[in-house]
Amino acid sequence: MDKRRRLSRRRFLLTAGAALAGGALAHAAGPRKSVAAPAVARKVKLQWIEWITPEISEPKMQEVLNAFYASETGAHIEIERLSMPYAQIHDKIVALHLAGQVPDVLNMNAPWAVEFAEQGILEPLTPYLEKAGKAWVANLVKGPMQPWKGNVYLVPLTSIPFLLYYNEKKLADAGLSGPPRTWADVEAMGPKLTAAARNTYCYASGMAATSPYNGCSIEIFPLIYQGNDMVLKNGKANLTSPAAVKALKFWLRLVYDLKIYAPGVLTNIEKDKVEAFGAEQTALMWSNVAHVTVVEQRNPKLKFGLAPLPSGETFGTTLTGWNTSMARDGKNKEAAWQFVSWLAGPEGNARMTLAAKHLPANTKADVSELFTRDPRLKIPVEILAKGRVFLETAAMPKVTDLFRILVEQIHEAATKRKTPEQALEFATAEWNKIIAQVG
Amino acid sequence: MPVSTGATRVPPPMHRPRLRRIATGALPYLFIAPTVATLGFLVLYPVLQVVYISLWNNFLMTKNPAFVGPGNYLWLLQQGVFRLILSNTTIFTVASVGLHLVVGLGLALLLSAKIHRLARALFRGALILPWMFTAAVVAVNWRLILNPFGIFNALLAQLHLMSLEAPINWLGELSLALPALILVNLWRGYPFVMLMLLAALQSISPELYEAAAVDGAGACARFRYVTIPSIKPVIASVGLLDAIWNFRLFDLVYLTTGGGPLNSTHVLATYTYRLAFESFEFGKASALAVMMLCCTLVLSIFYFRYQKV
Repeated sequence: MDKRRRLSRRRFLLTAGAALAGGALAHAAGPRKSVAAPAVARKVKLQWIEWITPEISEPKMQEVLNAFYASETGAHIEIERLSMPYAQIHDKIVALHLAGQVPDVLNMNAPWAVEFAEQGILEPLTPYLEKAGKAWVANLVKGPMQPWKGNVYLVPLTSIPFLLYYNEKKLADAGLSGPPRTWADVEAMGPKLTAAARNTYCYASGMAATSPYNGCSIEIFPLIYQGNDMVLKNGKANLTSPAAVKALKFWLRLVYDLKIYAPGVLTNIEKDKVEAFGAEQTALMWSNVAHVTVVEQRNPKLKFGLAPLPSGETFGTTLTGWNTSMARDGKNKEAAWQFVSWLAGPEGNARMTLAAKHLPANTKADVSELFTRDPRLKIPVEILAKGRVFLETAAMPKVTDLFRILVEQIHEAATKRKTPEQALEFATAEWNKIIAQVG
Repeated sequence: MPVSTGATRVPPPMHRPRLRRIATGALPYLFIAPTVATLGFLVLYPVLQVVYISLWNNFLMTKNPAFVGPGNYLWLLQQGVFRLILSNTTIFTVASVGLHLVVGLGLALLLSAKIHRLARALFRGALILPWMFTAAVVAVNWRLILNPFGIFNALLAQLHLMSLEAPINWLGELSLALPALILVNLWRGYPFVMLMLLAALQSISPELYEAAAVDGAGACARFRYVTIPSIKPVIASVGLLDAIWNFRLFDLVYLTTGGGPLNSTHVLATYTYRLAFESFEFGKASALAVMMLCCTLVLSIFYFRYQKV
């Protein structure tokens, strides 16, 4: 029995060895692959990470891309999109950077520019802009193109000032002739637009302490600008200024004294705020022009208007917008720049702007059709013309951390664990530590 | 010429006996080598890499990270927020495991009652449903249910336990967010415990209950002196496993509350994520991950030792 076992094991090993050797020989001696097909112009594949498609819809995005492919620049380029909601993009880019797989072109939010540039994710675009020429650059909105350590990292795609959405029917039902124009109007109108027993409120807030923590930039920063001051001064945090303290106190008064905000102030994100307005739970909403399409899709029957944000001592609002960047480690930088520059150029910018109902970032983009389709969109043009539209976040380092610190301090003040002054003092100290660290 | 007497045959000479012994001995290892290599690559290498990163500062973020040795670990231990988060994690784990066992055992007892087979199958199917959903689905649904305008508050208002004019923000109040999260985790996690305990209950011999009944034991006494001792090993095993899973839970917490409000629902796993992907402190995040690994290893050692016993 033992001998038979030994013999069968030996036979197995010999058989397995012979089979492997035979397979290797057969592979080596087998027919070779045919020589490569005759040369055909091969398209350069670019990967583009973006949150635009979920906001404008797939057919509209495809129209924009088809126009690119039909252009001289885009004929030899193929775009592979990595589309996802805005809230996921920041962390996804970080994860892809760690995996060494950053897409060639990135849809960027201005606040991320410095932190991503610092980590070496973004390609400095200054050389490309210099090559494109001063005349071409002069047509672009300057806000997002603030240099950091001598280099520009963003090319603007659209301009979106923050403004006020108002539900026309709710205002009419409350006997109001129009949206609030000043802080005093908000304090007077807010309670008339709020009926807690019927679950309707004047505003909803998006001050959740979850990434990207942008509630503070949407709801507090404009109040500071309306107090005729800035969030940063001489490159340092300016959150203990009288305007900043007044801004926070005003917001807290609206939420906790006048109670004109829907419950969930400290847990809602921006999406919840937009949903609440679309569902006609709130009468007013502070948001950017980007959500006009989203609200229309959610509730096509809703009649809403746009207006400038109410003024405090003066008018002020935040500018945001879509921007594009290139990956530092991208394999096809020339092709990537061709795509980025087409998007920022008159034709691409016009098409994207019309699809998204934003304002163009290129002053030569012909978007007159936009105002014919939707006369409300003249309001953001008027807002931009007023001046006092700010994009300070484009020059802030580690914006996610800064925003998180400020939102947490707002929560501390909201839950009365700190006074507004104490909360802002703490935020200022922490901000300045981070700013000093990064330089 | 040797003459064979026919009584014994001379065996053929053995060729290279040592090489054959080595080949025979190595064969089992060769068979498991692909699995070990895969496990080593997918499990061991990342763990060692995380330990390595935990000893550096600004790793992956700069070209010249600084070696800090145990510095990241000391930094974590000195943070007040770390102690808060450790406390949250402990409360969350202990409460979740306790509630899973209580609810799971209760439902398992109900399912093991003598009811019609079809009814039992229907109830079993319905009670397992929460386990089928992914964390994202559970989080989205419970955020809506526990929203100030959600059906939970509507139900409380119907029962006159709350006014709709002052709805409770279950996931937004400092004192209520963690209990609300534990409730969500209870809903999601009880089916596994219920199934394990149901299997254990069905393996108890009915003769034990008959004997106890003959001795005059009532329902409570039978539960206490027959049921519990019989399924104690399963309770301990499932409890330990559940503790390991809940201790390192990330997805449900992150998607439901994100750790807020004011860190009141942050657990170790979500704080690790924040350190890594929001503050880009990969060294500190890795140090925290290593500390979590040590804690779960301790629990795992208890589990394996218990299994052997």
